Amino acid sequence: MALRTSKPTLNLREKVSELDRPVGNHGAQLMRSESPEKSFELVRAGRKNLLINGSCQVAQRSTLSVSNSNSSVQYGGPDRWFQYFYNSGEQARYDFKQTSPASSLVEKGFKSAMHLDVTTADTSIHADHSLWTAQRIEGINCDHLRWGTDFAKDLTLSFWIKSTVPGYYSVVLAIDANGDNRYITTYQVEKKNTWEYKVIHFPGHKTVTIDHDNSVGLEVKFTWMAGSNRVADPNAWDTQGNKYGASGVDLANIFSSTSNNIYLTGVQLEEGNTATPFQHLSYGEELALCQRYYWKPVGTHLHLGMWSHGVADTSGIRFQSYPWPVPMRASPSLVYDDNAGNSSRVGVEHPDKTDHTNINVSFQHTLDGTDGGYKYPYGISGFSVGQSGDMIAYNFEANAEI
Amino acid sequence: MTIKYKIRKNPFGDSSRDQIEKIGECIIPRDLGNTDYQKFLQDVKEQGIEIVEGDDVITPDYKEQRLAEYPSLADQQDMQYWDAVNGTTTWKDKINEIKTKYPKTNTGSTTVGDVPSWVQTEVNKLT
Repeated sequence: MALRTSKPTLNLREKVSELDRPVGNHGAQLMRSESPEKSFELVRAGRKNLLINGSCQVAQRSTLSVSNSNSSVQYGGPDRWFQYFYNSGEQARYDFKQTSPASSLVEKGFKSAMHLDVTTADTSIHADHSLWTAQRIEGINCDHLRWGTDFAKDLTLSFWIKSTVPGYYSVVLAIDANGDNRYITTYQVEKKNTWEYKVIHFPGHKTVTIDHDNSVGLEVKFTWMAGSNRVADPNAWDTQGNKYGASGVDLANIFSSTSNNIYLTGVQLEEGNTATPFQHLSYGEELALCQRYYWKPVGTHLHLGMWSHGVADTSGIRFQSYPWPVPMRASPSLVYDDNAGNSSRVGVEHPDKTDHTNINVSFQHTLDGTDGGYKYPYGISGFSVGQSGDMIAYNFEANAEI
Repeated sequence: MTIKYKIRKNPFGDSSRDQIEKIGECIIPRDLGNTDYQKFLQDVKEQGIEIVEGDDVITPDYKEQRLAEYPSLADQQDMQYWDAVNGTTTWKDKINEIKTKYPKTNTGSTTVGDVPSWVQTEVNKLT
């Protein structure tokens, strides 16, 4: 008996070619990843932007008109971003505000930008002068960068910028606010009044650690002015002293005319050496992140119930406890008035419905909120024990910025 | 020297909850994480303790002083009842004692107290 067998035709060359899938560079990296951790790092899943309000959508404060108050942070305009004048002699002045960018950027997903609008020119930069726009990142949010070890993670900064003045600008990554460890580098704005996307890489620091606390861990500075005594060799970590700009290039002077403007948005600082698309958060998420550092009531004043009661050997006034929207970075400084020109005083509506001003109370607040404030001893004239009224702190602000 | 800061003492004696009024600007908690508090300590270090004044010390007027010592209304009614039953003058005597102790000439006053010692102690800790 004859046995007939057949086998399918196998073209080995064809099979091998099927293995050659059209996989891009990133796909190939993913295929080569040997662990879920590696794949996760490649995909950059999870919250990645170390900066808050990089898209400038939150602006609880009004526009800031800067002063040359040296060594003081000046907040206003988009939340979390501050201005800093190194010296007290800088002549330049500008308004810093939230603005809506042109449609060309809206198409890329951004509806807001920070806007530096020059109001006083400084055409001849003094050697000692410097100023910048910056954001500070809490040390407690930098643990995963592993700085101070051999496994220190590199960082990538990406942003959109539009400037009236093309040329070279400096950007700095600093470890803690007052420390000298800085990495100064440059980027070039190539065209006037055109949105350009910039990517900057910072190597991780293997010998300097970032403290795990609520003080400054990292600071990103966009340096707008750096006189000849305020520049240093770029592109290396160094103990820079009072240097905030890059040497070796002619830095652009945005303050050459009061007609000049700089716009900045989509600012993202992330782990790794790749600038991934900007991480857009919902307005509510971004607002809550900002409120850890600063908040104010939408209606501008804080309205709390108060009542009189006996305390120890006299009478006193207590008012209701009130939690802040989110726990703040530290116990905040409180700004308020009585709507009659008296700072740090409140207005009170008495039980007889008459209004009184210039009342000094204590909020006894913490980072969580007011712990039930008081006026003690002696309460407020006109209140009998057991009577209640209303206390109003006008133009209320709680500030726990770094 | 211009006074820039005023201490607001916690009246219940917990000095860790004292606060600082930056005059004309804001109320600062005693929290080393607060940058305004850091600035306060730095300012005192650089400009001297003279830029700080202590909390107000309030001496109340006779109304407040008397109110603080009058027995409660319930106790006063109790005194009046037993005075009527026993023919005594306990209630009248007590009220008169308080009125005499705090005469109407006590119009009250406000003075500035000392700067608490913790201010200099904290400033001395600055490097």
